Amino acid sequence: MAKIRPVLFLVAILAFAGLLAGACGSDEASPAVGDAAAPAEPAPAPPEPAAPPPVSDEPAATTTAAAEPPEPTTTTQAPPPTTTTSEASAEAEEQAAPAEDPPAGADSGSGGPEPAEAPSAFSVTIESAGGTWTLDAVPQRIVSLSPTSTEILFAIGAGPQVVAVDNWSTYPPEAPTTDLSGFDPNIEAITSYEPDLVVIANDTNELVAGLTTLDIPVFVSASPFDISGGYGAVAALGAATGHVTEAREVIETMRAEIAAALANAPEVPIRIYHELDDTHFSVSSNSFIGAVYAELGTENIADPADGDGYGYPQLTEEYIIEADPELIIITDLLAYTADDVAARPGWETVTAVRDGNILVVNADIASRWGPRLPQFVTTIVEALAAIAATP
Amino acid sequence: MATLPTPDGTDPATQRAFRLSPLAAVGALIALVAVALLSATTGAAGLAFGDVVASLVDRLPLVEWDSALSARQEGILFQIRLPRLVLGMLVGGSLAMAGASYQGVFRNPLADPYLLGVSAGAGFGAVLALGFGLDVGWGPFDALPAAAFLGALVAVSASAAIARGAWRSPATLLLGGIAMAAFFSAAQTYAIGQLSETRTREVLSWLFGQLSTSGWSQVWILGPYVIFCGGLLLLHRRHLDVLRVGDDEARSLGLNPGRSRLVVIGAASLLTAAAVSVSGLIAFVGLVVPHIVRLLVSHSYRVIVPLSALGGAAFLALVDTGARTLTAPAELPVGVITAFVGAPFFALVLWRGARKVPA
Repeated sequence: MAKIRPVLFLVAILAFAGLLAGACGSDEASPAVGDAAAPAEPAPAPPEPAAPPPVSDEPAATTTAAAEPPEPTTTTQAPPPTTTTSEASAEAEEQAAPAEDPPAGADSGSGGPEPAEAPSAFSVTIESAGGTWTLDAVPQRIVSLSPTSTEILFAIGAGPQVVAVDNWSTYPPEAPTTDLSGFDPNIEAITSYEPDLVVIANDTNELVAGLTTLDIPVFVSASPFDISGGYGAVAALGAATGHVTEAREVIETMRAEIAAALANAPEVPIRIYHELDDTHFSVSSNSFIGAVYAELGTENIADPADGDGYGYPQLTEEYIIEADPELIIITDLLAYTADDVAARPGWETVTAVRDGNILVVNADIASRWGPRLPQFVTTIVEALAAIAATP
Repeated sequence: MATLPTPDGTDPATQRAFRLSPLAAVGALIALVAVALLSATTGAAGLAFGDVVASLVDRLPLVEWDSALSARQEGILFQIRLPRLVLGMLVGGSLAMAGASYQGVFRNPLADPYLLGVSAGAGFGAVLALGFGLDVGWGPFDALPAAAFLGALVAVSASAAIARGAWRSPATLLLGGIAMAAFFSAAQTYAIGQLSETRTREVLSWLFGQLSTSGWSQVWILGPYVIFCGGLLLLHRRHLDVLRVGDDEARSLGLNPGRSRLVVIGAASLLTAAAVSVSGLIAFVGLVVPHIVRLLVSHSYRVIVPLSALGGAAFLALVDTGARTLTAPAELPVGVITAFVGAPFFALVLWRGARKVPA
């Protein structure tokens, strides 16, 4: 014992020295190290930046309220799009109208966007899980902590009003990416940008409560349940930022492109498996992206595994093989490739592997409900059509 | 080594209690085989019991027994289910045996890879290796177990160093271990924060504790460590009994306590590290299985070490069978079930054995 002790000390000291050296070496991010340091609450895999797994059932309740401030959209298929547009155009009129409208009953407090008090004044009431806020001026210092919202804001022409976006907001390239984190937000870092509107996808770290205390308007644009919910998110951000017309145009374009893609979708249901990581977390129809697959008429092998409706079940491997998917979808944000999937022992009998139908999709497009959704739909429909065409 | 006398008493009954009784050994083996059979024949793919047995027997040399399994079902059985079963046994056996050895060498019934910070240290090493692209192989060996081993060794050494003569003061040792575990968890968390999103995802899913495996590659990675370290620990199990009576007595019995300790700590840490590197962090097995053996069978490490290996293997294989079948076709984290099944059982055994004073 007496002999080991010095050795043990030496090893411990060396280890500490090494750790310190390593820590100092990699410690470059100056302003908000706090952001980067802690995302380790190891949420199981479904790692869509916009919908991290800790947000399970409870926020799903808030989601309904959050996704569609202008209109009470729910998960029904056909009607909501129309509702969305008419609502969006109604807002457009309200935006345009005030010039002529006399400032009659300002502040009726009913929830929807309201006519402005004075001619040419902007006044919009936004409602979400982030509470009800009345914006009396067009927001000019927007902070977006949601990659999808960032894409939407830029698509509807609100880009110049955005002063900072989170570290996962990778698109469009001109977005002012910072080291702010939407996954593990730091309220002090956010306020340093002096925002007049903060857009988030999830209320983590008591962010809404904190921003409310500081009287900073916050809008929660949560993951919708289906494609039409995605239109609702676009319309809501258009209303909040004074770009109602552009938002409506974006929605029309998305709808037209998706309709065009859907026209080519095969009649027969194709069995699909969307893999989030190599521990076989997947998406069921209860997730946004799974709902898109469902709208394409596919048979999602993850659905039987999602008894509790959480949306991101972890499948057991032998089930995947037995369910025999015809199309396997993985993202490009993984440490492995389609070839690695095909080479997995025991997977050689799976139809998708045998026929080479392992599709690699852009991880960002495949997890966001923004303006690039039609691209994703088109990619998937092309793959499905190709499979249906081969006997 | 073989000449070491039994530490206490010449009473034949005591002598017997220090030997591994054939009954207990056979019982543990039967339990293991039963669990293996259960695990091999249950699963989401619902292969029929008879077909699985026929298919297994058919693989034996010189035996022909046609089974009704399709090629796909054979693939599921031999490339998915069996590798996972074997991996579960190896990991469970490793963790339990390492836990038993730590308990002996630190003379502390609460010592276990988790509490000593070994798992956290190994996890930190593995995260560094995984996250910074060191997950390459060196010939038959993987860099990952090596990195995990370094982390494990640093953690256990530091725990012992903090306690300064840990073997005298169990509480200090555990507190040192808790400090190290906290430190390495924090370091690990920080390291993960520095990784790219792709790597983060990979590391997190690994950390969660997974026995999910494709094919036999991970079994081949872990196997050599189990044989080497497990063999070393089995050879030293008598030393653990001798160490229990104190260093001076051990020395007077012809044992070099320092060297024995070093060998046992090294082997147990390497074994833990290898297990952690293939399966992620699975708690509970290393602490509870040796205690169950101790309370049910004997206080002698000559019994505890080998029976813990068998018991740990059976326990984790059983638990993992639950993990992949209870919510099939979904999967449960295996760590959830280890605690859910293990804790009440452990409590029951403790309660019933409360009057016998555990060593």
